[in-house]
Amino acid sequence: MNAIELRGLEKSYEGFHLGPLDLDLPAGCILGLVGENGAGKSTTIRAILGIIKPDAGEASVLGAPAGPDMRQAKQDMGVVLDEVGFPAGLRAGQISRIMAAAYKNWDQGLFDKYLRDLDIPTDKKFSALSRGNRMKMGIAAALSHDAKLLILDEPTGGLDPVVRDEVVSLFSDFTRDPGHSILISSHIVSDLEKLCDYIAFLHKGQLLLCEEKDRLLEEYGLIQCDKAFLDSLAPGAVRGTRETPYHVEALVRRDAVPAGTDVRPVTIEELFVLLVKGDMQ
Amino acid sequence: MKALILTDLYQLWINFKFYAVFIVVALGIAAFSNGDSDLGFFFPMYAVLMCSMMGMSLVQLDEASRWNVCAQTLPCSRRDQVTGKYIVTMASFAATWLPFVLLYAVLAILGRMAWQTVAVQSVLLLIVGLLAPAFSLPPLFRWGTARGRVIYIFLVILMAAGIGGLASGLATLDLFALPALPMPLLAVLAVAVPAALFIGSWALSVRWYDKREL
Repeated sequence: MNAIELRGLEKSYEGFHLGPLDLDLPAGCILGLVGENGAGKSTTIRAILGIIKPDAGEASVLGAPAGPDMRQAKQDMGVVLDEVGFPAGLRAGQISRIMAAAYKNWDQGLFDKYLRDLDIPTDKKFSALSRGNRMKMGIAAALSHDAKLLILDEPTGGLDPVVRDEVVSLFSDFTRDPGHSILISSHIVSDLEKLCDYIAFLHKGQLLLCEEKDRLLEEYGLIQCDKAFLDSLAPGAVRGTRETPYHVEALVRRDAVPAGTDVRPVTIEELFVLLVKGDMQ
Repeated sequence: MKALILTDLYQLWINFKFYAVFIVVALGIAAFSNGDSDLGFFFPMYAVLMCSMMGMSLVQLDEASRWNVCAQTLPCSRRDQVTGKYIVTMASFAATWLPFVLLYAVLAILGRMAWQTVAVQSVLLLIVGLLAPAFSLPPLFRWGTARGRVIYIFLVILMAAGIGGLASGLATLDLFALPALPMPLLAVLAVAVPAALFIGSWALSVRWYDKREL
């Protein structure tokens, strides 16, 4: 069973068109949405949550059609949006009571534990917290009601590297339960590289590719060469290039370059940057 | 919806608790200046109007903190979000209106106010308390607080112009020549029409908010 399914999802704004998107998040897996600003990551997540209405296509979450009224599915979802929007004047205790009224499985003790572990001040109003602490509060709330699916839009934005590492570990622990899944978008590709089973690249509203992370890393590699060598490669072998004054760096399909070529491993960040550049070229 | 109403109650307490002081002061002024004096009616009217507009203030607070978007990730519908605001508005209105009605009744028992004035002023407060949110909330749910407030003000100006026109038209009529409605029917209409408009406003807000993209 898939935790999330998107079929032909489309959404248009002036000067921007998302999709059509076809995407699956298998249950028990972590899917990372990677894309530059304005690529459509938040739009995709908002369409899944029913905050915006798609122009075409369908989405389902935990087996229920996506939309604003999917109450049961929302009981099983923990969500952190790019801007955590708890009311400004509320403190942690009041937020906890609101969440207890919203979620059947709200675990007050667990929420308190996350507040302590993540060092979130409980005596300050939400509006007085730093951006990082607000994000941590949102993450603590999302993890404290026995959710089966986490939907996270830039959850590590605004966090310092140490806390980011802690938070990534929390997400990693969450998926130890085979029934738990995560959809996460981020600019910080290194976080996704640590965490994700699947990676989806969005660029200007289009899905460049969606693949298992390990397969991507096996399938693609980087070569450094001159322009003449690059031109000699088979069409389709090169997915993107980056030129420096000394050489050309190219993202290639390993199976499409001549045997003996020195192909070094690629990181997800390099893969994304070069794919986007390739698309622009 | 329980979570949404609880949030609104926290918001009311945090942001508007000083209104309770104002209501007590207004009750005092109304009590000592006799309910049927200008002062005894102005302060209750002002207090009821302010409290019945709490829904509008809560929608503004929600948008400012982005809670309106965050609340959509909770297990509740958009209909719940709208209904919660109408319930809190009604509760806030009732919590202000009822003390004034009770005060008027006490003044009438003490012989400082006529029972007919008690009825008229109570109904007028009720009309204002129901109509103000009935007209202000739907534009906010449809267009958001920035545009919605402008549209609401425009509606108020239109209504004022309409009432002015109606009043000048009525001035030329010989009202005594018109068939008079029986008093009980008039009283029922005075309560039923604003109540129906309030319910209609809720239905319109639900419909409009459902279509809105946040």
